[in-house]
Amino acid sequence: MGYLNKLILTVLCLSVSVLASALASVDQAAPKFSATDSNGAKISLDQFAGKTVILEWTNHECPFVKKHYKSGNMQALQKKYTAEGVVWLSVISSAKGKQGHLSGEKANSVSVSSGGHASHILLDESGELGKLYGAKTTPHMYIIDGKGMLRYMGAIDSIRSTDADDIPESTNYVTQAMSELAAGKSVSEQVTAAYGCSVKY
Amino acid sequence: MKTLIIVSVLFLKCILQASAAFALATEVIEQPHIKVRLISEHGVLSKGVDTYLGLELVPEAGWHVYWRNPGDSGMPPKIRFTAIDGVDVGEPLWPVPHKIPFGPMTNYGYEKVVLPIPISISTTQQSALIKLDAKASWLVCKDLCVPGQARLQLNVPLKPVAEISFEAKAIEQARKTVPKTMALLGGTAVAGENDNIEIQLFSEKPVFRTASTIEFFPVNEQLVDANATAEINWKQNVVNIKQLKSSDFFKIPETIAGVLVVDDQYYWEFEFAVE
Repeated sequence: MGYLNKLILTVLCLSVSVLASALASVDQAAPKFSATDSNGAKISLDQFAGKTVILEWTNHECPFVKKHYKSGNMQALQKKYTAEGVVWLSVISSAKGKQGHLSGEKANSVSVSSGGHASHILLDESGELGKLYGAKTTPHMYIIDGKGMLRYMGAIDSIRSTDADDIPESTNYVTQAMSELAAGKSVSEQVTAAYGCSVKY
Repeated sequence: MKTLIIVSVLFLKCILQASAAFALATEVIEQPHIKVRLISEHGVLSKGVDTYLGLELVPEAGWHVYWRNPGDSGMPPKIRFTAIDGVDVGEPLWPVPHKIPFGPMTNYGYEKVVLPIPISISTTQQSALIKLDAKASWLVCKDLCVPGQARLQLNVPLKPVAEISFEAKAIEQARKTVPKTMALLGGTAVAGENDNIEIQLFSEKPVFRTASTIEFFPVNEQLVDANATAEINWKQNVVNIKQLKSSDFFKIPETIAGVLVVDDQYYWEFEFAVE
């Protein structure tokens, strides 16, 4: 019994330390991942070496996500950055049966009807990718530079609300970080408190 | 018989008028998964009175609203009043929250709450009707979240003598659970070993001397992992808090603030500048 307890404890400690060391943090190499997209293709971070990658955690039924889609804010960012050669990955980490969970086909039709411009929609119903990056909310945004370094993690903007009228008044942290990176500067606000619905793990 | 009816009617009218003067609250606004009202501690206000309004939020069973720091997700309720000359409405006070676990995350919030809102009357008028006009908004969640908002209009008579309302009790109850400011000799906060944030507080008074339990709620976001258990040690006037840093922790903020719940009945708020 004592041996078993010890073994369990050791295993627990091991799994925790693996998790802790793998957690995403800024100015560190972004955790590597591979996932399946809404068209069934295997997507891995490695295949985008040399390109900037933006990760966007989403749940189309969450009121905070709706704020940024009904206003066209998120789609405008997707359009702008993908046109510049940036890879935009929208990630759905809702577990099966939970709010926001979508099949690949459904995810595509939601994207088409909202006028989305994501490069890929990643289906992460196991929540593995979300937990690897510590995604807590929808939206939750991450920017990885061409060298694979994580340069921004946090909120989409500075005003925590579900009201689209607040968007023009807010500072968009993604735009801010992207402009600073493009100008060769360091990102002024690298980590912000993401706001939104809980990711439905 | 006729006289009896008239007397009865008059009597009834008196009762109605009396209760109208003492009850002071907006109608209950029913919105998806929540009932909301604005209430007043005073049914009649007068010049120089410092009192409280209350934003009452009553979610449906199983649903919740959020504390000022909502934890891993969510959003605290907001209320904004249209300015009135001679009436100063302050920021809402926050009764102590509790932890609401959700999957691998934890939020800080309430199953129901009255947020006391300080109001002071400095008008030179003797008699008037103070027309309070507020816009409140909230997020109510279970496994899903539904945002809501409402306009809350409450007319409070201003007379030479102030009177308490029926709702005073609810506001008084809520105020008892608003943490009191803890006078500090000082405090420190560091990002320590094993990804822990370590906070040490020195109270002016030995408020922890007889404590058998202490619970910690951070006011700062991006500091500690709401889902991790805090390791808390105390003695006399010193308390040490060690808790895993939040995944979005970036650096120790300039000011650290938090709430300590001692023995489930004493509520303290502390704040100190990090040297």
